[in-house]
Amino acid sequence: MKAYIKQEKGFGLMSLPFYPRLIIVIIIALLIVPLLTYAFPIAKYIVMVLVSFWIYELVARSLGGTGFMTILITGILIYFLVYKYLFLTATAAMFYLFISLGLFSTLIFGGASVLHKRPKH
Amino acid sequence: MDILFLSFAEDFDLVLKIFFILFAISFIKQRVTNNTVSIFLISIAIIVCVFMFWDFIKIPYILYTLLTIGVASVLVDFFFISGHAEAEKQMKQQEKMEASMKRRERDELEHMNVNIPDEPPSHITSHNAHHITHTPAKQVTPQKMKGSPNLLRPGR
Repeated sequence: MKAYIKQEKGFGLMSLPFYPRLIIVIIIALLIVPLLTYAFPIAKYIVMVLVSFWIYELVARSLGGTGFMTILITGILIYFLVYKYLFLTATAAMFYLFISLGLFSTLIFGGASVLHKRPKH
Repeated sequence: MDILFLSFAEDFDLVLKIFFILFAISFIKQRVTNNTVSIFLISIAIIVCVFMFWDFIKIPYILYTLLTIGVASVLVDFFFISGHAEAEKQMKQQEKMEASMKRRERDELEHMNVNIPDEPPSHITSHNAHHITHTPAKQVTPQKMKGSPNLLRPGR
């Protein structure tokens, strides 16, 4: 009983209501890779290369070729998205990856089933 | 900080415009095969949407992009879970109410000195229930209870 009260009234994650807890879990899952880019420089360069290829593919597919315009627009986008706002772009890329692989459903349902459980008293 | 945010908003707007131009080009090229007509339509679309009515186009384009990549499924998951959570909460409330009502009825009956047969102890389940012979409830006096062993204790 004491443990139950401690977990319910503590200042940790379990003291929050259910939805903020789930949102915090999702945000943590999204921020793993962007935070890794700050922790390890090699991870940063890997993410930069991956996002650059992703942008180039998107632009080439839209313009239908690999001409001068493709290179120009890719360069502009890479300057803003990779050089200037890498953290936001990496988070958005993770969000896109999670949605495209269907990981959000797993995260939400799994998180709900884990976070709904209460400790035995 | 304000300058930083303004610069971020402007950069975001520019990136969004470039993405919209790419979207318009691919959209029109997919549907119009004639090269001249497609270039004419692309230029009109860019002039009208980006340079004239960008404030009206921006939010629908963001919504369209988010829906295209599948944000709706995330929302559905969230609302589905919220339905489950509500149902769970209602069930818990109902269980609590039933338990309190039972307790109250029991207290009232005890107050009226009515003999209530005890509920079977928790160690008696449906598997071993056939071993136990049911005896009619007896009125037990406090003097008799003092000396007699407790037959319903789980250890026996």
